[in-house]
Amino acid sequence: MKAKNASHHLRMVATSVFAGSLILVAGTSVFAGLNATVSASQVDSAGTLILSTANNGAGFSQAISNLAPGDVVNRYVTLTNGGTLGSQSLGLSIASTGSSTLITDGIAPATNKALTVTVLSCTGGTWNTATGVCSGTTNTEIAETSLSAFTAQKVFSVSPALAAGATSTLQIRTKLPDQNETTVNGVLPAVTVQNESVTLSYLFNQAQLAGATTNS
Amino acid sequence: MVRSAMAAALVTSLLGIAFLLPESHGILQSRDSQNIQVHNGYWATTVGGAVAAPASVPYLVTWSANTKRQYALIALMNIGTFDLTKGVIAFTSAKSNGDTSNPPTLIFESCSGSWNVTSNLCSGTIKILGSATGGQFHVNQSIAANNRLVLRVTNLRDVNANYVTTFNAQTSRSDFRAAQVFSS
Repeated sequence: MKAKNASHHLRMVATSVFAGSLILVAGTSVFAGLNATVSASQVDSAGTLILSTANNGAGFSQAISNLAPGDVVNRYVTLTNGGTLGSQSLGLSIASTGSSTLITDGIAPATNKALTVTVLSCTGGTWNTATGVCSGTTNTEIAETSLSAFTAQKVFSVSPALAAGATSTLQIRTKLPDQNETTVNGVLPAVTVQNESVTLSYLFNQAQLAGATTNS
Repeated sequence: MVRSAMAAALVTSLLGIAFLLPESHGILQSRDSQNIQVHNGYWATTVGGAVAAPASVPYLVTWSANTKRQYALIALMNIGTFDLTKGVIAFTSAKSNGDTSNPPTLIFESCSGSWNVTSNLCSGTIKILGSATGGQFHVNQSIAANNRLVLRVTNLRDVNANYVTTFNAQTSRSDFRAAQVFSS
């Protein structure tokens, strides 16, 4: 009985290997055939999708320091789709590490308000990095959002698509919301936004446009 | 053993197929990441002797009984990162038994020059900032970051008991510049 079973299993393994080999050989043959046809008449190449960020002014190259409640710091970057394919779902997520009081709003009795980020784009014009004025149309791509809510990607609401070679000029607005704390004899409150730091890792992401069928 | 061999064979076959499939069957994504650090400033003052180093404790001044005019030089020190447009000193006076009734009136003065810590005299012009018996005293003078403002506190009253005045420095958001927009 055992010998019969072993023989049965061996046959199944052999069958599986044989079947897999057949699929491999067949698949290779099929695609080889297709490739041969293609190479005989035309050249196909896969498209690329390359997203890059360049500082426009200080951009991300300089740290933001000595922020006070209510302060807003505008920085400018240009996103470029340097690939050959158009993209969609252009978005941003931010991973924040550092002081929790700057990442998450306090829960009563704590009153700390975390940093917020807003993303604006300028279409049909350029940003004046000194004045923060867009000479074209200003679009709110991502409304003011606290850091804790930025862990999930937010897709640009106005211009989420980038054609191949196209750019998106952005104003990244970092704000410490207005809030008050009183220090006594130089001692900061137990829960405070003062003298705290956080590192923001901006991750811009884009996806290729849905595949299209072309007849020609 | 036999089943493992079967599974391995099938996986090998499927992997082979996967590698042969054109890449267009997936969705391409492209990402770029950049970091920036954000650091907040802080607003804080301490109060102490005219030439003392900053200390994060209340500052005590003792007024002797039966002395007509007494002076004390105190310094409001800005140990924060913002230039302050004003300072706040909260103070109370009490006798040695804790009795806070009938506290002395204290006069606060600033000097356009510098105070002589021995004679309590001003090298320039004295400006009277105000007087109070206690509570919050607002010093409407600017104090740059890492600087101090020395004030002369005068007790004119001829008190009949020793009083101890406890000074505390308080700093809040309204004591320095308004919010700004920086663009670069």
